[in-house]
Amino acid sequence: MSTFESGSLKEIQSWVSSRIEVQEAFRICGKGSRFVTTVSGKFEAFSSDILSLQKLNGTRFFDPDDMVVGVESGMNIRSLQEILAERNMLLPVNPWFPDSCVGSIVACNDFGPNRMDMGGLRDCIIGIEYINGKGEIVEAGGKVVKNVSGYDLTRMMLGSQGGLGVITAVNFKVIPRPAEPHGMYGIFKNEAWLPQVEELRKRRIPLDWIQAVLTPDSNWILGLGFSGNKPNRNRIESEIREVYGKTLAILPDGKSFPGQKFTPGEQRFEGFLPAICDAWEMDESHFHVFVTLPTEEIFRFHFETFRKENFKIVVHPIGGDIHFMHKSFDMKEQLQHLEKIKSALVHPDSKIRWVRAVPEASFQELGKFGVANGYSLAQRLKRHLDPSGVFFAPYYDLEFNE
Amino acid sequence: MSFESNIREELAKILGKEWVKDDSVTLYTYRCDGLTLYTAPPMGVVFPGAVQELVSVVKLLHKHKISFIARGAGTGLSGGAVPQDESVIIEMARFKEVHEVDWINRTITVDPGVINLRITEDVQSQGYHYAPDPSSQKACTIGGNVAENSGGPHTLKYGVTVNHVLGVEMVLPDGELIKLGGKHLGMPGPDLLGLMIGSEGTFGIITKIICRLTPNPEKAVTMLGIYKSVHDACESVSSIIRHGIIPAAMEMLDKIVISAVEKALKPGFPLDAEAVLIVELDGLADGLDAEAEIVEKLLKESGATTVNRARDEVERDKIWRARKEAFGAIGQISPSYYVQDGVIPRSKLPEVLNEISAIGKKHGLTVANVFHAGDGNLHPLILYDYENPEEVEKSHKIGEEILSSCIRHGGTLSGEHGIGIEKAEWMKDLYPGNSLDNMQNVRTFFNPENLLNPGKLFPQPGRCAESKSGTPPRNATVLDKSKMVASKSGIAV
Repeated sequence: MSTFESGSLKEIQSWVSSRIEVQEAFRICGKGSRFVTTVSGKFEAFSSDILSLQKLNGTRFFDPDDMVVGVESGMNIRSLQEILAERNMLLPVNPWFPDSCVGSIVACNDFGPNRMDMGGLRDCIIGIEYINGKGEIVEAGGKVVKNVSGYDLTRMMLGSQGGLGVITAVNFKVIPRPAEPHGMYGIFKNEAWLPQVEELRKRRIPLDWIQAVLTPDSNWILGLGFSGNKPNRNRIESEIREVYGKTLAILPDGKSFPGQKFTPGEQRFEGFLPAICDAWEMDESHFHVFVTLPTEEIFRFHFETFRKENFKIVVHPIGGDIHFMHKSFDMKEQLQHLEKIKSALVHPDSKIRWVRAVPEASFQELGKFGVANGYSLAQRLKRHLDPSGVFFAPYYDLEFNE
Repeated sequence: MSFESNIREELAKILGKEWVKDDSVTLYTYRCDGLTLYTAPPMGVVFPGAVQELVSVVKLLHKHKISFIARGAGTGLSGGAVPQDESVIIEMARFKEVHEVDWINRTITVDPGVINLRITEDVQSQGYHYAPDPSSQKACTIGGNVAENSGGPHTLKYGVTVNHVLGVEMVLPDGELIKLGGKHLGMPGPDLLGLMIGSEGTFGIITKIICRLTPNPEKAVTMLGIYKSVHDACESVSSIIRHGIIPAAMEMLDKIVISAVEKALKPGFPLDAEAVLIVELDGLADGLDAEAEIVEKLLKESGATTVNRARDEVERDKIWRARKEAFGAIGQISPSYYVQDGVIPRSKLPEVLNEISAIGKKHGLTVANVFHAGDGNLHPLILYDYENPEEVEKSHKIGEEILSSCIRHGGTLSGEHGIGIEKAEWMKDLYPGNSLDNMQNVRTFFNPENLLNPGKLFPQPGRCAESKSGTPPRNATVLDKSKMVASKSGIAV
């Protein structure tokens, strides 16, 4: 097993072409912050070689007036947000780990709390460059915010898990940073916050994000993010207080919640999980899955069962997703956790992804919860676009009968 | 041209005789869509009324290697629904049921033949709407919107169709029925739904669509900036964005369009203005007036001589009617027009608008402009006389040069009308490398025998010279009285 790393697109293309010629599969790796099979696969359980894109990390263009940016895929999301922040812009996608590189978040279609009303990567991505199964560099989409000229190969590559090509650069539509972002925070001993979120939702108040995190002492911290000018914020604040009573504290972004090790939302622009994982003393091999599900399923989800069994949980209730973590290193125990989560899901559109686990954890165990509708079509497309099978991506290898 | 008798019989077995038509009136009716330049009669038209009927029809046509094409309301402006190679048209008008409305997940599931505006009408009493609002929304269908990835004036803030469709059910060209997406956007795997949206009906035929519902804004403030120069109006657009404000819409009309809408609709736009800019802010009522004051100040600082704010819904409707019916109003000042649809980076607006004006002058024709300024999505209207062959020819040249200008400035061929037949030959200019081959490779995957909607999106062998000289493509005939006109019906963007 070896690693090829270069900051030169030409060299990378040449290396990929050589792999295609000999039909040798390889894994694509950015920063390597992902610990399960999907893209980077850090573990030696997979013997294939690694293509590291860490050094392919330049900025192709940034036009704040046009609200567009193009960067190479090895740039990490924190660096990208810093570049944008210098001109008061923001990519409204805040994936779990700030060290994740752009190529990785696109390949995995990651998102975070901001997705709620600002959209996810699907709403921001406008162009892409990738190396295809013939070793050619393909450019798709463009630099403009509206474009219906031909097939949307950009979105085809979104979420492709490294299986359809090597993503080398991505163009995004960005937005101005929200004006005076604030959060309201409350501590809850049980899941009483959840029906109140539903009530708030009915009021159609424009919130930027909602995040509920289970604290190490088994309470919930609920954060409700919003922004805008003062009259706008005052109105939102008063609506929230009407629903929740006066128990919620209000803090501008960047301020910590008194007495807590972390404040949900505090790091949301650069990745929100590290502080939470630190507070829980979570390790890379601990159990961590990410569930996406319709809002209605979250509103009726029995969190209490999982809270009582010492799961660590982060919930983004609208849209929506739940991170389940558990301090267990043992494969058997981790699979039991997974089965418990699977059995709690009712809606057929609920899906599960591994985030962190023991090295032996595989995609296969997710079963129908690991794949999207139209999975067999995706498998066939993979075979069509990668006939030599060089782009290692276990997502497409699941044996599953739709 | 008509069905061979055995095909007609088999189709009638599936659908019933009354839903299989190949009489001359039907063939004439379905010879084109909103872009009337390109016309070609279909082999026949079928009207399935249920998914299983559609699947059976597709399987039958696939078995006999007969090409076919799905059609919604036929309001498309790029010839995407014009039958090529004697295709059979599968008319989706009978798929018009609104299914489940899911208030918690904020979704509505509809048939593809449902009219765009009907979704909003069905849910507005509950405080919701369907955001993509093409100007043809009173007539166009959701299925067509999905095929073309339609936009509209409010896409600046709310996005286009791809941002508002969560899932579809569709029939592939061999009759396989599949589902993509679902009730939320967090599906694993490649975004095949995103790939399918905007594929111009060449990957499959949509049978069901899960749309996102958007809460109605509590309040909207609509302003009209009046300018002595187009350049200043463009500067206002940049100034607002630079200030960190994303309006719901920013739409610009130039002097020629102003004079047309004043003749037709009398919205009260000043005839001596070089341009007007419609800016709409929306959101919670609280704080919106304060934001509007900032925008008003920015408009004035960047050159607006006057900024009028709509005082009530009547005034607001008047402004929007002028915008949405501007294309139709052009009929007041020109016998016909050719609408283009190009996109440029917003910051290039002044430069490109100057070029467009110069291109028109060079060829001796007037080019009017009404467009989505916030998105950089231009809609130059080339005014010409359809009875003057020289002007017809010039209008082609102008359209081509405008698109070249868009590409040269880092833009693209279409922001919302699609490629269809109209722009297929220009795709090589937009994608000079191997991107086009890769798109075709993806089409080969979905549509290996090219039976579904052939002749669209990609340059056709031997067609380039014909098309660029203004002669219709293979199997097409030019309509006598309405060449290149989508205008008189007021069908617009």
